[in-house]
Amino acid sequence: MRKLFLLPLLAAVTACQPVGIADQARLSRPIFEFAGSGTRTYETSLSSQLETGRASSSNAAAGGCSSCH
Amino acid sequence: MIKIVQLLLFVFAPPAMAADYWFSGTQEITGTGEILSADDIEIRTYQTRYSGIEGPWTVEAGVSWSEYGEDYAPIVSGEDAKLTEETIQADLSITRKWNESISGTLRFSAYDGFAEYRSIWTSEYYRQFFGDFEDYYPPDPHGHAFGASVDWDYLPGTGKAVFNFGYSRDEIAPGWSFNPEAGRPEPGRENLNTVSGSVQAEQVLAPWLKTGLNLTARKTTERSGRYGVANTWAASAGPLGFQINAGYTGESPSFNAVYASGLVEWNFLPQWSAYLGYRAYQDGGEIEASGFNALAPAIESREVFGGLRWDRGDLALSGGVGFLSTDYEPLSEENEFFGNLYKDRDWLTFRLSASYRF
Repeated sequence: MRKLFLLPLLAAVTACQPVGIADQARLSRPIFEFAGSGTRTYETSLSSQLETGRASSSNAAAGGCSSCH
Repeated sequence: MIKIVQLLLFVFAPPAMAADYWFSGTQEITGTGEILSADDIEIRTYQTRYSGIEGPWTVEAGVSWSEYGEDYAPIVSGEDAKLTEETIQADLSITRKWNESISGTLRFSAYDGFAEYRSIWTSEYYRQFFGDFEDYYPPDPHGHAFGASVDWDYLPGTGKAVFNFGYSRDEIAPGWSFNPEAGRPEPGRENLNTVSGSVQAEQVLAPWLKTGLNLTARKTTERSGRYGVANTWAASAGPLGFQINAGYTGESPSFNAVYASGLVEWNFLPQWSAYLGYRAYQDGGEIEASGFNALAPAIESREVFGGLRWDRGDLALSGGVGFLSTDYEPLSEENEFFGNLYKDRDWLTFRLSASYRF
């Protein structure tokens, strides 16, 4: 867990590194897409029916028990 | 059936006509199938999406079809039943790129049918309990949503922020209770209005490192505001890619959820990649401290998932499977009626998707 706190430090060290056109190909990998869909996502959206506190369960139609309120 | 045809025409007619006459940019068709399955509950969803670009305009439309199958088993009284339901959902969005850094999107979506499996179970409970009364009527859940967003590429190619606003109205399957003064059962609230907003920021920190922050807020009728924060990191090293994510969601008076996930991807051939991930989720339960209700108790869940992707550039295929387990805290005596709904389960998740760009 303590290693997680090193991430902001890592960000500070690496921030402002230039990103060239050649780097765009690497950054276009699905792993860098945080809101991917279709063939470029990794998890099923149906699990939001169980895990209603996830950010992906952001609207009433997508999650939460509508008759349970 | 008429509603379904109307939805299909509403969603696919404009982009289909547009595709014939003025889409000169990239177009893409995607088909996705997903399954969430346990011994007594199975959900299958099939979705098709289309997008087309013409100059500064992007049009995207989608239709999804969900099938629910549940083996209803009462705890105290009632009878076993096999429940099946179908839901159709459609959406349409139009995006206008104003300049190199700003674009705006308008969205509309609608659905007809149950939005999730728990309402099907609880509706059967109320039907068995109150179905013989004249005043009882079966549920007809449906809803629609509007949304708007602004994308701001504050550092084109490396830094981006998205501001979202949404409104939705859901006609829900109500809970029922007996009114002793009136001598008949009465439904609870039958519609919900939700207003939501979010800010998503993504920043490339190095050619191999990127981070994202997602802040969300949502207010639903008769409930307190729900607020969430999630942070994601992604990195690559040669053929390997890594992604980690953690988040928190809270709602007064007592709902708290935390979750995290980790993922490794390996590009083992130029067009092929494999991935393996683990995620965990925990919340303190939606259930109220006392009184009869159908809200969920505290849950812990975890999933190991993996899959393969083949991407030729214009044509891509991906498939994945996951093993998900859910562990609920025991219900109180007042709510043991829903003990078989909120029991521990082992789920299998399955996902298959294909896309073609032309």
